[in-house]
Amino acid sequence: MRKRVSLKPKSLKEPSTIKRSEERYHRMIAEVRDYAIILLDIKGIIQNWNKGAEKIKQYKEAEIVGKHFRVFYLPDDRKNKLPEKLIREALREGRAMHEGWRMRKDGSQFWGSIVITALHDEKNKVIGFSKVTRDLTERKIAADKLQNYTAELELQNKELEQFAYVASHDLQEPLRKIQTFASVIQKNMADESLVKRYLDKINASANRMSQLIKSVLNYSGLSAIKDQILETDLNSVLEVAKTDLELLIAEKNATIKNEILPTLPGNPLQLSQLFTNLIGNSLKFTDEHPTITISSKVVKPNEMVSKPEIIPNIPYVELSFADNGIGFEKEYEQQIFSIFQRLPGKKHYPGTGIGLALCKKIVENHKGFITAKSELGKGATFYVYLPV
Amino acid sequence: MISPRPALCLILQSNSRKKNRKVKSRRDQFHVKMKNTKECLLIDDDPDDREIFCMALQEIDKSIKCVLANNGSDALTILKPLTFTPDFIFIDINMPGMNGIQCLTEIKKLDHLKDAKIIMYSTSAQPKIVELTKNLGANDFLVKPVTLDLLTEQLSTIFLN
Repeated sequence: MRKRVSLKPKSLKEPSTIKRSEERYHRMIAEVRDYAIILLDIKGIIQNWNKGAEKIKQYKEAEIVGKHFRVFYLPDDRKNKLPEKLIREALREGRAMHEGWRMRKDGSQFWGSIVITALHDEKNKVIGFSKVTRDLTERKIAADKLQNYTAELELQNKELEQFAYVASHDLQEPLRKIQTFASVIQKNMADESLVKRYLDKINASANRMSQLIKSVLNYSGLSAIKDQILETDLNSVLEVAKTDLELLIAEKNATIKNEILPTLPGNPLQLSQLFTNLIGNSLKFTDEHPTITISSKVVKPNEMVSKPEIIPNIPYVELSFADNGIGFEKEYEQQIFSIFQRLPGKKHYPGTGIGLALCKKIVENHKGFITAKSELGKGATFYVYLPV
Repeated sequence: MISPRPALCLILQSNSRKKNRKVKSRRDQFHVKMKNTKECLLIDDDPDDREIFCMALQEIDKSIKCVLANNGSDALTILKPLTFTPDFIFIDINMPGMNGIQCLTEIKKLDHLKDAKIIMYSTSAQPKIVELTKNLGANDFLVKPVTLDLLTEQLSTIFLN
Protein backbone atom coordinates (compact mmCIF):
# COMPACT_ATOMS: atom_id res chain seq x y z
CA MET A 1 0.00 0.00 0.00
CA ARG A 2 1.30 3.40 -0.95
CA LYS A 3 1.43 6.09 1.52
CA ARG A 4 -0.86 8.84 0.67
CA VAL A 5 1.28 11.80 0.25
CA SER A 6 -0.04 14.99 -0.98
CA LEU A 7 1.96 15.59 -4.10
CA LYS A 8 1.91 18.97 -5.57
CA PRO A 9 3.03 18.91 -9.26
CA LYS A 10 5.89 21.33 -9.70
CA SER A 11 3.88 23.46 -12.04
CA LEU A 12 1.07 23.92 -9.59
CA LYS A 13 1.54 26.27 -6.76
CA GLU A 14 -0.78 27.64 -4.20
CA PRO A 15 -3.05 30.27 -5.72
CA SER A 16 -1.66 32.83 -3.31
CA THR A 17 1.92 32.07 -4.37
CA ILE A 18 1.02 32.40 -8.02
CA LYS A 19 -0.72 35.62 -7.32
CA ARG A 20 2.31 36.93 -5.44
CA SER A 21 4.61 35.84 -8.26
CA GLU A 22 2.45 37.49 -10.88
CA GLU A 23 2.21 40.61 -8.83
CA ARG A 24 5.96 40.75 -8.56
CA TYR A 25 6.41 40.44 -12.34
CA HIS A 26 3.67 42.92 -12.92
CA ARG A 27 5.24 45.43 -10.60
CA MET A 28 8.65 44.80 -12.07
CA ILE A 29 7.40 45.88 -15.47
CA ALA A 30 4.83 48.42 -14.43
CA GLU A 31 7.18 50.58 -12.42
CA VAL A 32 10.04 50.75 -14.96
CA ARG A 33 10.07 54.34 -16.15
CA ASP A 34 12.85 54.43 -18.69
CA TYR A 35 11.53 51.76 -20.99
CA ALA A 36 8.04 51.36 -22.40
CA ILE A 37 7.28 47.68 -21.92
CA ILE A 38 3.91 46.63 -23.29
CA LEU A 39 2.11 43.55 -24.42
CA LEU A 40 0.53 43.28 -27.86
CA ASP A 41 -1.79 40.57 -29.00
CA ILE A 42 -1.09 38.66 -32.18
CA LYS A 43 -2.75 41.35 -34.26
CA GLY A 44 -0.77 44.16 -32.63
CA ILE A 45 -3.49 45.45 -30.31
CA ILE A 46 -2.13 46.96 -27.10
CA GLN A 47 -3.06 44.83 -24.09
CA ASN A 48 -1.41 46.68 -21.22
CA TRP A 49 0.69 49.70 -20.31
CA ASN A 50 3.53 50.65 -17.97
CA LYS A 51 4.88 53.84 -16.43
CA GLY A 52 7.66 54.00 -19.00
CA ALA A 53 5.14 53.84 -21.83
CA GLU A 54 3.16 56.65 -20.29
CA LYS A 55 6.29 58.75 -19.80
CA ILE A 56 7.63 58.20 -23.28
CA LYS A 57 4.44 58.22 -25.32
CA GLN A 58 2.22 60.38 -23.07
CA TYR A 59 -0.93 58.23 -23.33
CA LYS A 60 -2.61 57.08 -20.14
CA GLU A 61 -3.47 53.40 -19.83
CA ALA A 62 -7.19 53.85 -20.19
CA GLU A 63 -6.97 55.75 -23.46
CA ILE A 64 -4.54 53.47 -25.26
CA VAL A 65 -5.28 49.88 -24.29
CA GLY A 66 -7.28 48.24 -27.07
CA LYS A 67 -5.75 50.39 -29.85
CA HIS A 68 -3.33 49.13 -32.50
CA PHE A 69 0.29 50.04 -31.86
CA ARG A 70 0.49 51.76 -35.25
CA VAL A 71 -0.75 54.96 -33.57
CA PHE A 72 2.82 55.52 -32.44
CA TYR A 73 4.11 55.63 -36.00
CA LEU A 74 4.45 58.66 -38.29
CA PRO A 75 1.94 58.95 -41.16
CA ASP A 76 4.55 58.03 -43.79
CA ASP A 77 5.63 54.96 -41.84
CA ARG A 78 2.01 53.94 -41.47
CA LYS A 79 1.49 54.38 -45.21
CA ASN A 80 4.51 52.15 -45.87
CA LYS A 81 3.11 49.59 -43.42
CA LEU A 82 6.19 49.69 -41.19
CA PRO A 83 4.37 48.44 -38.03
CA GLU A 84 2.98 45.45 -39.91
CA LYS A 85 6.39 44.69 -41.39
CA LEU A 86 7.97 44.66 -37.93
CA ILE A 87 5.29 42.29 -36.59
CA ARG A 88 5.86 39.94 -39.49
CA GLU A 89 9.60 40.02 -38.86
CA ALA A 90 9.07 39.21 -35.18
CA LEU A 91 6.85 36.31 -36.16
CA ARG A 92 9.45 34.99 -38.56
CA GLU A 93 12.67 35.63 -36.69
CA GLY A 94 11.48 35.65 -33.11
CA ARG A 95 12.14 39.33 -32.76
CA ALA A 96 12.37 42.59 -34.67
CA MET A 97 14.55 45.60 -33.84
CA HIS A 98 14.17 49.10 -35.20
CA GLU A 99 15.21 52.71 -34.58
CA GLY A 100 13.32 55.67 -35.88
CA TRP A 101 11.13 58.69 -35.26
CA ARG A 102 7.90 57.93 -33.45
CA MET A 103 4.96 60.04 -32.39
CA ARG A 104 3.76 60.97 -28.92
CA LYS A 105 0.15 61.66 -27.98
CA ASP A 106 0.57 65.42 -28.57
CA GLY A 107 2.01 64.86 -32.06
CA SER A 108 5.59 65.67 -31.07
CA GLN A 109 8.28 63.22 -32.10
CA PHE A 110 10.87 61.19 -30.28
CA TRP A 111 13.63 58.89 -31.53
CA GLY A 112 12.75 55.41 -30.36
CA SER A 113 14.79 52.25 -30.13
CA ILE A 114 12.33 49.37 -30.37
CA VAL A 115 12.45 45.61 -29.80
CA ILE A 116 9.38 43.52 -30.56
CA THR A 117 9.66 39.95 -29.27
CA ALA A 118 7.28 37.14 -30.15
CA LEU A 119 5.77 35.31 -27.17
CA HIS A 120 4.90 31.60 -27.39
CA ASP A 121 2.66 29.18 -25.55
CA GLU A 122 3.66 25.60 -24.52
CA LYS A 123 2.90 24.41 -28.02
CA ASN A 124 5.32 27.06 -29.40
CA LYS A 125 2.51 28.94 -31.05
CA VAL A 126 2.84 32.72 -31.07
CA ILE A 127 0.32 34.21 -28.76
CA GLY A 128 1.41 37.82 -28.78
CA PHE A 129 4.34 40.21 -28.64
CA SER A 130 6.23 42.14 -26.06
CA LYS A 131 7.31 45.55 -27.20
CA VAL A 132 10.11 47.41 -25.46
CA THR A 133 10.78 51.00 -26.47
CA ARG A 134 13.53 53.31 -25.32
CA ASP A 135 13.59 57.07 -25.91
CA LEU A 136 16.98 57.93 -27.45
CA THR A 137 16.08 61.38 -28.72
CA GLU A 138 18.88 63.17 -26.91
CA ARG A 139 21.45 60.75 -28.17
CA LYS A 140 20.11 61.02 -31.72
CA ILE A 141 20.22 64.82 -31.69
CA ALA A 142 23.78 64.75 -30.37
CA ALA A 143 24.82 62.25 -33.02
CA ASP A 144 23.23 64.34 -35.78
CA LYS A 145 24.95 67.47 -34.50
CA LEU A 146 28.26 65.68 -34.51
CA GLN A 147 27.71 64.49 -38.05
CA ASN A 148 26.83 68.02 -39.22
CA TYR A 149 29.82 69.44 -37.43
CA THR A 150 32.13 66.89 -39.04
CA ALA A 151 30.74 67.66 -42.48
CA GLU A 152 31.22 71.37 -41.86
CA LEU A 153 34.80 70.82 -40.73
CA GLU A 154 35.54 68.75 -43.79
CA LEU A 155 34.19 71.48 -46.04
CA GLN A 156 36.16 74.16 -44.23
CA ASN A 157 39.27 72.08 -44.46
CA LYS A 158 38.86 71.70 -48.19
CA GLU A 159 38.29 75.45 -48.58
CA LEU A 160 41.38 76.11 -46.53
CA GLU A 161 43.48 73.83 -48.71
CA GLN A 162 42.32 75.61 -51.83
CA PHE A 163 42.87 78.95 -50.21
CA ALA A 164 46.40 78.05 -49.09
CA TYR A 165 47.26 76.95 -52.59
CA VAL A 166 45.94 80.07 -54.27
CA ALA A 167 47.48 82.35 -51.66
CA SER A 168 50.93 80.79 -51.80
CA HIS A 169 50.88 80.72 -55.57
CA ASP A 170 49.96 84.36 -55.82
CA LEU A 171 52.63 85.25 -53.31
CA GLN A 172 55.26 83.32 -55.21
CA GLU A 173 54.90 85.55 -58.25
CA PRO A 174 56.20 88.79 -56.78
CA LEU A 175 58.85 86.87 -54.88
CA ARG A 176 60.17 85.22 -58.00
CA LYS A 177 60.26 88.57 -59.73
CA ILE A 178 62.31 90.09 -56.93
CA GLN A 179 64.85 87.31 -57.32
CA THR A 180 64.93 87.70 -61.07
CA PHE A 181 65.26 91.47 -60.91
CA ALA A 182 68.13 91.07 -58.45
CA SER A 183 69.89 88.73 -60.84
CA VAL A 184 69.45 91.22 -63.70
CA ILE A 185 70.97 93.96 -61.53
CA GLN A 186 73.91 91.74 -60.63
CA LYS A 187 74.68 91.27 -64.31
CA ASN A 188 74.41 94.95 -65.12
CA MET A 189 75.95 96.73 -62.16
CA ALA A 190 77.61 99.34 -64.35
CA ASP A 191 74.36 100.38 -65.99
CA GLU A 192 73.10 102.97 -63.49
CA SER A 193 69.76 103.66 -65.09
CA LEU A 194 68.98 99.95 -65.38
CA VAL A 195 69.99 99.38 -61.77
CA LYS A 196 67.72 102.21 -60.65
CA ARG A 197 64.81 100.99 -62.72
CA TYR A 198 65.10 97.45 -61.45
CA LEU A 199 65.44 98.55 -57.83
CA ASP A 200 62.16 100.39 -58.30
CA LYS A 201 60.63 97.22 -59.68
CA ILE A 202 61.91 95.28 -56.67
CA ASN A 203 60.28 97.78 -54.37
CA ALA A 204 57.01 97.55 -56.26
CA SER A 205 57.00 93.75 -56.02
CA ALA A 206 57.82 93.83 -52.33
CA ASN A 207 54.98 96.25 -51.72
CA ARG A 208 52.62 94.06 -53.63
CA MET A 209 53.61 91.07 -51.52
CA SER A 210 53.00 93.07 -48.40
CA GLN A 211 49.53 94.06 -49.63
CA LEU A 212 48.71 90.50 -50.55
CA ILE A 213 49.79 89.18 -47.18
CA LYS A 214 47.75 91.80 -45.36
CA SER A 215 44.64 91.02 -47.35
CA VAL A 216 45.14 87.28 -46.90
CA LEU A 217 45.40 87.76 -43.15
CA ASN A 218 42.28 89.85 -43.24
CA TYR A 219 40.41 87.22 -45.18
CA SER A 220 41.45 84.32 -43.01
CA GLY A 221 40.69 86.30 -39.88
CA LEU A 222 37.05 86.43 -40.87
CA SER A 223 35.84 83.75 -38.54
CA ALA A 224 32.28 82.55 -38.25
CA ILE A 225 30.12 84.92 -36.28
CA LYS A 226 28.08 82.50 -34.20
CA ASP A 227 28.47 84.33 -30.91
CA GLN A 228 28.72 87.90 -32.01
CA ILE A 229 25.37 88.60 -33.64
CA LEU A 230 23.57 91.79 -32.70
CA GLU A 231 20.66 93.76 -34.10
CA THR A 232 22.62 95.94 -36.50
CA ASP A 233 21.37 99.18 -37.98
CA LEU A 234 22.63 99.18 -41.55
CA ASN A 235 22.42 102.97 -41.69
CA SER A 236 25.18 103.25 -39.09
CA VAL A 237 27.12 100.59 -40.93
CA LEU A 238 26.89 102.76 -44.05
CA GLU A 239 28.11 105.78 -42.11
CA VAL A 240 31.16 103.85 -40.92
CA ALA A 241 31.95 102.82 -44.48
CA LYS A 242 31.57 106.37 -45.75
CA THR A 243 33.91 107.62 -43.06
CA ASP A 244 36.50 104.98 -43.95
CA LEU A 245 36.31 106.02 -47.59
CA GLU A 246 36.20 109.78 -46.93
CA LEU A 247 39.40 110.60 -48.76
CA LEU A 248 38.63 108.51 -51.79
CA ILE A 249 35.10 109.92 -52.01
CA ALA A 250 36.42 113.48 -51.95
CA GLU A 251 39.23 112.72 -54.38
CA LYS A 252 36.89 111.19 -56.92
CA ASN A 253 34.13 113.72 -56.37
CA ALA A 254 31.74 110.90 -55.74
CA THR A 255 28.07 110.91 -54.77
CA ILE A 256 26.54 108.23 -52.60
CA LYS A 257 22.77 108.01 -52.60
CA ASN A 258 20.88 105.76 -50.27
CA GLU A 259 17.43 104.94 -48.99
CA ILE A 260 16.78 104.31 -45.33
CA LEU A 261 18.24 100.89 -44.66
CA PRO A 262 16.78 98.27 -42.32
CA THR A 263 18.08 96.83 -39.08
CA LEU A 264 18.84 93.14 -39.03
CA PRO A 265 20.77 90.57 -37.00
CA GLY A 266 24.43 90.48 -37.89
CA ASN A 267 28.00 91.24 -37.00
CA PRO A 268 28.53 95.01 -37.20
CA LEU A 269 32.27 94.79 -37.81
CA GLN A 270 32.00 92.35 -40.68
CA LEU A 271 29.05 94.19 -42.20
CA SER A 272 31.00 97.45 -42.24
CA GLN A 273 33.86 95.64 -43.98
CA LEU A 274 31.30 94.43 -46.51
CA PHE A 275 29.98 97.92 -47.20
CA THR A 276 33.48 99.45 -47.32
CA ASN A 277 34.64 96.85 -49.81
CA LEU A 278 31.64 97.12 -52.11
CA ILE A 279 31.52 100.91 -52.11
CA GLY A 280 35.31 101.16 -52.33
CA ASN A 281 35.28 98.86 -55.36
CA SER A 282 32.65 100.96 -57.10
CA LEU A 283 34.65 104.11 -56.44
CA LYS A 284 37.83 102.51 -57.67
CA PHE A 285 36.43 101.19 -60.90
CA THR A 286 34.67 104.40 -61.93
CA ASP A 287 36.77 106.85 -63.85
CA GLU A 288 34.72 110.01 -63.53
CA HIS A 289 32.22 111.33 -60.99
CA PRO A 290 31.19 108.04 -59.45
CA THR A 291 27.59 107.80 -58.32
CA ILE A 292 26.70 104.91 -56.06
CA THR A 293 23.10 104.09 -55.25
CA ILE A 294 22.27 101.86 -52.32
CA SER A 295 18.75 100.56 -51.85
CA SER A 296 17.02 97.81 -49.99
CA LYS A 297 13.81 95.81 -50.03
CA VAL A 298 12.49 92.59 -48.61
CA VAL A 299 12.13 89.76 -51.10
CA LYS A 300 11.14 86.13 -51.26
CA PRO A 301 13.39 83.63 -53.06
CA ASN A 302 11.23 83.66 -56.18
CA GLU A 303 11.67 87.42 -56.49
CA MET A 304 15.44 87.38 -56.47
CA VAL A 305 17.68 88.55 -59.28
CA SER A 306 19.70 85.36 -59.19
CA LYS A 307 20.11 82.86 -56.45
CA PRO A 308 21.87 79.62 -55.58
CA GLU A 309 19.93 76.44 -56.22
CA ILE A 310 18.96 75.52 -52.72
CA ILE A 311 17.92 78.20 -50.27
CA PRO A 312 15.35 78.18 -47.49
CA ASN A 313 12.04 79.68 -48.46
CA ILE A 314 12.25 82.59 -46.05
CA PRO A 315 12.21 86.33 -46.68
CA TYR A 316 15.53 88.06 -47.26
CA VAL A 317 16.60 91.68 -47.28
CA GLU A 318 17.98 92.53 -50.72
CA LEU A 319 20.61 95.28 -50.59
CA SER A 320 21.65 96.60 -53.96
CA PHE A 321 24.81 98.60 -54.63
CA ALA A 322 24.68 100.14 -58.11
CA ASP A 323 27.44 102.16 -59.72
CA ASN A 324 28.15 103.91 -63.01
CA GLY A 325 31.66 102.52 -63.40
CA ILE A 326 33.47 100.55 -66.06
CA GLY A 327 31.44 97.41 -65.46
CA PHE A 328 32.57 93.98 -66.58
CA GLU A 329 31.56 91.30 -69.07
CA LYS A 330 28.49 89.30 -68.14
CA GLU A 331 30.42 86.04 -68.41
CA TYR A 332 32.54 86.95 -65.37
CA GLU A 333 29.56 87.48 -63.05
CA GLN A 334 30.48 84.44 -60.97
CA GLN A 335 34.25 84.46 -61.40
CA ILE A 336 34.75 87.87 -59.82
CA PHE A 337 34.02 86.48 -56.37
CA SER A 338 36.92 84.00 -56.55
CA ILE A 339 39.89 84.89 -54.45
CA PHE A 340 42.67 86.78 -56.22
CA GLN A 341 40.66 86.80 -59.42
CA ARG A 342 41.30 89.88 -61.44
CA LEU A 343 39.65 90.46 -64.76
CA PRO A 344 41.60 91.19 -67.96
CA GLY A 345 42.35 94.82 -68.62
CA LYS A 346 41.93 95.77 -65.00
CA LYS A 347 45.55 95.47 -64.00
CA HIS A 348 46.14 99.18 -63.94
CA TYR A 349 43.47 99.63 -61.27
CA PRO A 350 44.94 99.11 -57.80
CA GLY A 351 43.95 96.16 -55.66
CA THR A 352 44.74 92.63 -54.68
CA GLY A 353 41.72 90.87 -56.12
CA ILE A 354 40.56 89.76 -52.71
CA GLY A 355 37.87 92.36 -51.94
CA LEU A 356 34.95 90.53 -53.49
CA ALA A 357 36.02 87.17 -52.07
CA LEU A 358 36.01 88.88 -48.70
CA CYS A 359 32.49 90.20 -49.33
CA LYS A 360 31.33 86.73 -50.28
CA LYS A 361 32.77 85.24 -47.12
CA ILE A 362 31.16 87.88 -44.92
CA VAL A 363 27.77 87.40 -46.56
CA GLU A 364 28.05 83.63 -46.21
CA ASN A 365 28.96 84.04 -42.54
CA HIS A 366 25.56 85.71 -42.23
CA LYS A 367 23.88 82.79 -44.03
CA GLY A 368 23.18 84.98 -47.03
CA PHE A 369 24.60 85.22 -50.52
CA ILE A 370 25.88 87.78 -53.02
CA THR A 371 25.46 88.12 -56.77
CA ALA A 372 26.44 90.65 -59.39
CA LYS A 373 24.99 91.96 -62.62
CA SER A 374 26.97 93.96 -65.10
CA GLU A 375 27.80 94.79 -68.69
CA LEU A 376 31.11 96.13 -69.92
CA GLY A 377 31.04 99.92 -69.87
CA LYS A 378 27.61 100.09 -68.26
CA GLY A 379 28.36 99.97 -64.55
CA ALA A 380 27.72 97.15 -62.12
CA THR A 381 25.15 96.27 -59.48
CA PHE A 382 25.87 94.01 -56.55
CA TYR A 383 23.00 92.30 -54.76
CA VAL A 384 23.53 91.22 -51.17
CA TYR A 385 20.86 88.94 -49.69
CA LEU A 386 20.70 88.58 -45.91
CA PRO A 387 18.10 86.63 -43.94
CA VAL A 388 15.73 88.98 -42.18
CA MET B 1 59.32 102.51 -69.95
CA ILE B 2 61.10 100.12 -72.21
CA SER B 3 64.70 98.97 -71.83
CA PRO B 4 66.80 98.21 -74.90
CA ARG B 5 65.68 94.89 -76.21
CA PRO B 6 66.25 93.00 -79.41
CA ALA B 7 64.81 95.15 -82.15
CA LEU B 8 62.85 92.18 -83.25
CA CYS B 9 60.53 92.00 -80.22
CA LEU B 10 57.14 93.29 -81.25
CA ILE B 11 54.50 94.05 -78.65
CA LEU B 12 50.84 93.68 -79.42
CA GLN B 13 48.62 95.96 -77.37
CA SER B 14 44.89 95.55 -77.38
CA ASN B 15 42.52 98.47 -77.96
CA SER B 16 45.07 100.40 -79.95
CA ARG B 17 44.35 100.44 -83.63
CA LYS B 18 47.17 102.84 -84.41
CA LYS B 19 49.81 100.61 -82.89
CA ASN B 20 48.35 97.55 -84.51
CA ARG B 21 48.67 99.21 -87.87
CA LYS B 22 52.37 99.85 -87.18
CA VAL B 23 52.86 96.29 -86.08
CA LYS B 24 51.02 94.99 -89.11
CA SER B 25 53.39 96.70 -91.52
CA ARG B 26 56.44 95.51 -89.63
CA ARG B 27 54.95 92.05 -89.55
CA ASP B 28 54.44 92.17 -93.30
CA GLN B 29 58.15 92.82 -93.70
CA PHE B 30 58.94 89.63 -91.87
CA HIS B 31 56.35 87.36 -93.33
CA VAL B 32 58.84 85.77 -95.66
CA LYS B 33 60.58 83.45 -93.25
CA MET B 34 64.26 82.69 -93.76
CA LYS B 35 65.21 79.13 -93.07
CA ASN B 36 67.69 79.79 -90.31
CA THR B 37 65.86 82.54 -88.41
CA LYS B 38 63.70 81.23 -85.66
CA GLU B 39 60.47 82.95 -84.71
CA CYS B 40 58.70 82.71 -81.42
CA LEU B 41 55.57 84.01 -79.75
CA LEU B 42 55.21 84.69 -76.03
CA ILE B 43 51.70 85.00 -74.62
CA ASP B 44 51.97 86.50 -71.12
CA ASP B 45 49.88 89.18 -69.43
CA ASP B 46 52.71 90.30 -67.15
CA PRO B 47 54.90 93.10 -68.57
CA ASP B 48 57.85 92.26 -66.28
CA ASP B 49 57.83 88.64 -67.40
CA ARG B 50 57.69 89.68 -71.03
CA GLU B 51 60.66 91.97 -70.54
CA ILE B 52 62.70 89.33 -68.74
CA PHE B 53 61.94 86.83 -71.48
CA CYS B 54 63.23 89.22 -74.11
CA MET B 55 66.37 89.87 -72.09
CA ALA B 56 67.07 86.17 -71.89
CA LEU B 57 66.53 85.79 -75.63
CA GLN B 58 68.95 88.60 -76.24
CA GLU B 59 71.61 86.58 -74.38
CA ILE B 60 71.06 83.52 -76.51
CA ASP B 61 70.70 84.72 -80.06
CA LYS B 62 69.96 88.22 -81.20
CA SER B 63 68.50 86.99 -84.45
CA ILE B 64 65.57 85.19 -82.88
CA LYS B 65 62.41 87.12 -83.68
CA CYS B 66 59.98 87.28 -80.78
CA VAL B 67 56.45 88.58 -80.85
CA LEU B 68 54.81 89.34 -77.50
CA ALA B 69 51.10 89.14 -76.88
CA ASN B 70 49.28 90.48 -73.80
CA ASN B 71 46.60 87.84 -73.75
CA GLY B 72 45.07 84.85 -75.49
CA SER B 73 42.65 86.67 -77.74
CA ASP B 74 45.32 89.01 -79.09
CA ALA B 75 47.57 86.04 -79.74
CA LEU B 76 44.85 84.23 -81.64
CA THR B 77 44.18 87.36 -83.68
CA ILE B 78 47.66 87.26 -85.10
CA LEU B 79 47.93 83.50 -85.28
CA LYS B 80 44.75 82.84 -87.22
CA PRO B 81 45.73 84.48 -90.49
CA LEU B 82 48.56 82.53 -92.09
CA THR B 83 51.05 85.39 -92.10
CA PHE B 84 52.69 84.49 -88.82
CA THR B 85 53.82 80.94 -88.14
CA PRO B 86 56.16 80.93 -85.16
CA ASP B 87 58.43 77.95 -84.53
CA PHE B 88 57.97 78.27 -80.80
CA ILE B 89 54.95 79.41 -78.83
CA PHE B 90 55.29 80.12 -75.11
CA ILE B 91 52.02 80.31 -73.20
CA ASP B 92 51.72 81.67 -69.66
CA ILE B 93 49.24 79.54 -67.75
CA ASN B 94 47.93 82.01 -65.19
CA MET B 95 46.28 84.74 -67.19
CA PRO B 96 42.99 86.43 -66.39
CA GLY B 97 40.30 86.13 -69.04
CA MET B 98 41.39 83.35 -71.38
CA ASN B 99 43.86 81.29 -69.37
CA GLY B 100 46.82 79.39 -70.80
CA ILE B 101 45.02 76.08 -71.00
CA GLN B 102 42.14 77.54 -72.98
CA CYS B 103 44.66 79.31 -75.20
CA LEU B 104 46.53 76.05 -75.81
CA THR B 105 43.31 74.33 -76.84
CA GLU B 106 42.50 77.10 -79.33
CA ILE B 107 45.98 77.12 -80.83
CA LYS B 108 45.92 73.34 -81.29
CA LYS B 109 42.90 73.82 -83.54
CA LEU B 110 44.96 75.83 -86.03
CA ASP B 111 46.23 73.46 -88.66
CA HIS B 112 49.01 75.67 -90.01
CA LEU B 113 50.65 75.67 -86.58
CA LYS B 114 50.82 71.92 -86.13
CA ASP B 115 54.60 71.91 -86.36
CA ALA B 116 55.08 74.68 -83.87
CA LYS B 117 56.64 73.70 -80.55
CA ILE B 118 54.32 74.80 -77.77
CA ILE B 119 55.84 75.37 -74.36
CA MET B 120 53.73 76.12 -71.30
CA TYR B 121 55.29 78.80 -69.11
CA SER B 122 54.29 78.98 -65.47
CA THR B 123 55.30 79.91 -61.95
CA SER B 124 54.51 76.47 -60.56
CA ALA B 125 54.44 72.95 -61.94
CA GLN B 126 51.54 71.07 -60.44
CA PRO B 127 51.73 67.51 -61.75
CA LYS B 128 48.04 67.51 -62.65
CA ILE B 129 48.42 70.66 -64.75
CA VAL B 130 51.60 69.42 -66.44
CA GLU B 131 49.78 66.19 -67.31
CA LEU B 132 46.79 68.09 -68.62
CA THR B 133 48.80 70.36 -70.89
CA LYS B 134 50.74 67.38 -72.19
CA ASN B 135 47.49 65.63 -73.04
CA LEU B 136 46.23 68.75 -74.76
CA GLY B 137 49.27 68.78 -77.03
CA ALA B 138 51.88 70.97 -75.37
CA ASN B 139 55.43 69.91 -76.19
CA ASP B 140 57.06 71.09 -73.01
CA PHE B 141 56.49 72.76 -69.66
CA LEU B 142 58.85 75.47 -68.43
CA VAL B 143 58.72 76.71 -64.84
CA LYS B 144 59.62 80.41 -64.67
CA PRO B 145 63.11 80.34 -63.13
CA VAL B 146 64.22 82.77 -60.44
CA THR B 147 67.31 84.10 -62.16
CA LEU B 148 67.95 85.43 -65.62
CA ASP B 149 70.82 82.96 -66.14
CA LEU B 150 68.61 80.01 -65.42
CA LEU B 151 66.04 81.27 -67.90
CA THR B 152 68.73 81.80 -70.53
CA GLU B 153 69.95 78.24 -69.94
CA GLN B 154 66.46 76.75 -70.23
CA LEU B 155 65.63 78.75 -73.32
CA SER B 156 68.84 77.81 -75.13
CA THR B 157 68.09 74.15 -74.54
CA ILE B 158 64.67 74.66 -76.07
CA PHE B 159 65.82 76.73 -79.05
CA LEU B 160 68.87 74.77 -79.92
CA ASN B 161 67.31 71.31 -79.79
